[in-house]
Amino acid sequence: MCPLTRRNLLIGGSGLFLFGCGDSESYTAAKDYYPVTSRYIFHWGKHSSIVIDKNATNTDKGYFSNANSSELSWFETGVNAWANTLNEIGISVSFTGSPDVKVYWLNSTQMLAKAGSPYVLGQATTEKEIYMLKGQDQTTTTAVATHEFGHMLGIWSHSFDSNDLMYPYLNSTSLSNRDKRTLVDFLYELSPDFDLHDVAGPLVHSSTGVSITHYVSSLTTNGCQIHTSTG
Amino acid sequence: MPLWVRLFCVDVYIYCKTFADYLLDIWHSLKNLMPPYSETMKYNFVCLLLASALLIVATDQAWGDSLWRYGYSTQELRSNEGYNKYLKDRYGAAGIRLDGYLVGVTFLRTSGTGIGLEYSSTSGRIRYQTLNGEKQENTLDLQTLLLLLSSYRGNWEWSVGGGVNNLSRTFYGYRSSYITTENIKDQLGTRTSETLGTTGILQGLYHVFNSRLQWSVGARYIIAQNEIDSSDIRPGHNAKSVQETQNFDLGGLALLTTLTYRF
Repeated sequence: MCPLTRRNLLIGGSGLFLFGCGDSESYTAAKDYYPVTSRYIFHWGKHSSIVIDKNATNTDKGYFSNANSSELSWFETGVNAWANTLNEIGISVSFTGSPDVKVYWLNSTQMLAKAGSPYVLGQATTEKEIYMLKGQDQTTTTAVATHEFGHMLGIWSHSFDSNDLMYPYLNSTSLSNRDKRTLVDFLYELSPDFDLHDVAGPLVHSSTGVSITHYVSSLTTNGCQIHTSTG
Repeated sequence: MPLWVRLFCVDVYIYCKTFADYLLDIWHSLKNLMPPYSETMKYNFVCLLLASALLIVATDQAWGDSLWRYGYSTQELRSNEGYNKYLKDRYGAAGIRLDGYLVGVTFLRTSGTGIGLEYSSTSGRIRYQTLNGEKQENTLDLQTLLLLLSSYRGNWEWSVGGGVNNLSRTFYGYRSSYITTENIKDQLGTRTSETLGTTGILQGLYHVFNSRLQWSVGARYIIAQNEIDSSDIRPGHNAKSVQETQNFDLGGLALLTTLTYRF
């Protein structure tokens, strides 16, 4: 039998000490961003500007500048919800000048023809166009504008958490910290496959030469879907 | 080389080869013949087969005493690559600690070697605060079944072993990088996922008290990797947030303390 010596007690005591070291009540700060793509990264790049024509016209398609002043104001409020966050990475958003993004206001008949559903409240595409449904109330218009502009900034997926405005359903009407951090600390830290400033016409990857279809998000009364355009 | 070392080496070689053949046969049989069954069922089946094999071996030889063991194990996981790195980057979980108990039985030969079966259950958790300030907890539960070959020299016990493990992860998060209204229900909240893997160990124990009741302390080097598939309900994600298959390294150095009763 092993004698009960000081050395043996030290060894045994060390073993027992391990019992007390195994747990911690502290919480680490997670970076639990939500996904921003299923494959390709789109964004505008840091230290740039995005000019929005919030009431654009496309005479070929019969889309005229027909939003009323309230709708335009609510839309601007929705877009500006991202403003402080975008300032952190040197991106400015303005509504005058040569537009990067065009916003069209459609009635329900036009929206049905455009999106294939009369329930679409807003649509954004990597062709740098946003389609808004006319005649909605302030809360809806503002939330739709914020959500669809989130897609336009490069979030071509959704959050897994209903507290985030980029959740596929409009549960929240304001940006969460996760919305902001996902954009600034995650998406805009990645090298884009497509810089949206340079996108014009078909999407062709500059490195691989691969041609892909444009992404389209459609926010309906039953949630938001992202798909690729058919042409 | 002393005679006992050579005998031990021969013993170890035979045991290892037989054990490896058993494992390979079992795995191939399960993979090829039992695809409709769940991973849990395969795991249970492997456990039964191993236990049966041990009993057969045990009753077919002239055995001496048997050692019945209960112990505590603690281990810190690496965080440098694969799924380990993903957990560190996403949850700030550097050095996740797995703690838990082990129980085992070893049948001794008169030559001072033994063959044993050990079951261990260790668990760890990742406590973190989300970007929205909520407190969340992800948990890891690892169950391992090992066949051990041991050598007893004075107060020292040296072992090699191999077996299977079942890792259960209960994680909050999401599955697919393509989240839509159609699949949001699959993404929501906390989900549990199980994966199977193999484990190998090298172990040294020092018997602080070495009579019929032994108190031992020691260390174990573990080699174990589980593959977390990209189709897992809580997979790892690459730098672009797209899900991908990653290896979860469950190995490393574990510290042990055990109580053993010798019949």
